Amino acid sequence: MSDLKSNLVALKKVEVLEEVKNRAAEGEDPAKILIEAQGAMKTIGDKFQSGEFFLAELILSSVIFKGISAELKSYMGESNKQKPVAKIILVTLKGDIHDIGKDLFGDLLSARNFEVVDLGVDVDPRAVVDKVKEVKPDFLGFSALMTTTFQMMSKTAKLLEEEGLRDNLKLMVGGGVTTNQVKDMVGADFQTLDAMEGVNYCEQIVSGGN
Amino acid sequence: MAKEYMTGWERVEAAIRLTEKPDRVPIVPQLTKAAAAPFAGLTQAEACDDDEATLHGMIKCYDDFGGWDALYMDIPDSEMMQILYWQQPLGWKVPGRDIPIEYTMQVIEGEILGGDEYDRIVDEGWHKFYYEDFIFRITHLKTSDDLKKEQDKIEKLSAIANKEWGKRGVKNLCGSIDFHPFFKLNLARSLTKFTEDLYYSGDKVDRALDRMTDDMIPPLIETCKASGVKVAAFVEERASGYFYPLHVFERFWWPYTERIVNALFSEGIVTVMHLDTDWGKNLHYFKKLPKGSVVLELDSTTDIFAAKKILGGHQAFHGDLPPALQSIGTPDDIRSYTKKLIDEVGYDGGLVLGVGCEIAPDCKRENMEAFLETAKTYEFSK
Repeated sequence: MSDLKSNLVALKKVEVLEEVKNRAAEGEDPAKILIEAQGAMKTIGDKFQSGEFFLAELILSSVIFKGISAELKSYMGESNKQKPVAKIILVTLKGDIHDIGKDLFGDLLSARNFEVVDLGVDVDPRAVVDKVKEVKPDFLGFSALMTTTFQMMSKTAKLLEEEGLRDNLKLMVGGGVTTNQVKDMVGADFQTLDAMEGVNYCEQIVSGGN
Repeated sequence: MAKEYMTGWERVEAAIRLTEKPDRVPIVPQLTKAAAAPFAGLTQAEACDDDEATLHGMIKCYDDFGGWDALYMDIPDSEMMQILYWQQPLGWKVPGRDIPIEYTMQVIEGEILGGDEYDRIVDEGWHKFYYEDFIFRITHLKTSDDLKKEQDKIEKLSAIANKEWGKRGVKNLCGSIDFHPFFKLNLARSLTKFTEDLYYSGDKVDRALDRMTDDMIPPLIETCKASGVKVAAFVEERASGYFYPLHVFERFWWPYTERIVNALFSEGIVTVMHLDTDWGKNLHYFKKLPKGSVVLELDSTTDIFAAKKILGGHQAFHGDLPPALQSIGTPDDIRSYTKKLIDEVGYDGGLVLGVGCEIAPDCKRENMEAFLETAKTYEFSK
């Protein structure tokens, strides 16, 4: 395992960012460095799945990965940018301004090379539908910390159906108050309280699963 | 058919202290102002703007639903009440002031406490730091006079509340409520920054937790004694195995928690722990605390039925009708879940029937009625 990978898995923030800075400055292909970091993030995800790591380690690794991406940004030309594996829109709907879970989920997906379009919080269903038309995402994720958002989820899902936007879109609901019953009411494809479970679902769908 | 023979408070005491199986399961639904508002015909903005009207809204709910055994809170959980009395160290967006009138009041989490301020807490103590500095960062208050005016308003409201609830012969479940030091720091620093602090500069966090724990215990004991209710509560929503591995829990949460619980219990005070998120990985630790010293108030993300198997007969539970079920379930769903709670958690005592975290602001009236009716009659109907 490279120093970058082992240090990232060990959550050594200072060491990781220093190495990335030095290697990029020395002219190493930034895409290669990023792929190494993504490999480490995959290992961290696996450790979370096995119960060795917890949400805290996902949060810390996301912070470090964002630092790596920021460091490499200025070195990335069009030729060495990775093509995203899929597109996802994330949103907290009207009536709810919480974003911690949504933001973490977005960060974890970015580290797996998903293109994440974050619409933010307190967003009107119409604005979500318009963005879906524009971006044509593979996934749409509703985040909620409040039960009062459930009706907005249903309303948005209904609008998507009415506008013929639902067929090729996987609809996901997540957040502390969501349950399978909420998923069924909304007509979503997936529900979770666990950000990494959500990431795994997206990867499974991208690789041809259901 | 059997009948009630205990008072509401006798029922609560029997359940939380594990002294005997009560005549029926006691009921303490976590009625907040956000849930009371729609039941009482108030908008969320009105419930935030007029505390006295909201108090009467809460009393109306209690009366309309036929009452229950103890109160979760006797005055509305207003912005000022939460910040001044529960010491919840973050700001709020208030409907009608910061957000639309139909929204519920919502927290604003950000990095309000600097990473270099832990030592100040150690040097000054939490209360001085909080009430003389921090509180002005998260409220519209500008001076200590402003603070005093808000405290006076709450005192006046409490006097009205005491009179009204006294007429109904019902009292608060808890004589005193605070936030766990770990949760306070987590909120004040933000989840991400605090997690970095735990992993990269844990010693300074430990020192602050140590000081805050020392600061927290005496007022909890004094307030419980003054109120005559020997039950205290703390809120913790960020320390479970849902967030942190056990080595973090064992270093930064458990020792301070043991200290709080043991200090209170030595004075005869039971600690109600409001534990949101999934505590499944942490439950076995609570066996180490003296029997009957704590009540685990679970929000339905922890499996309360599994928790009963681990801790039944040693600690009591408060919970846990799921928020989503209150919001989108049917009365039959509610009856079925409530019966399951009584049969599997409350069958031998040790259960205070409540909801997950708090009554959902969009809880259907018929669901609340089904919950209370089942709770009051199910055991006698068997």
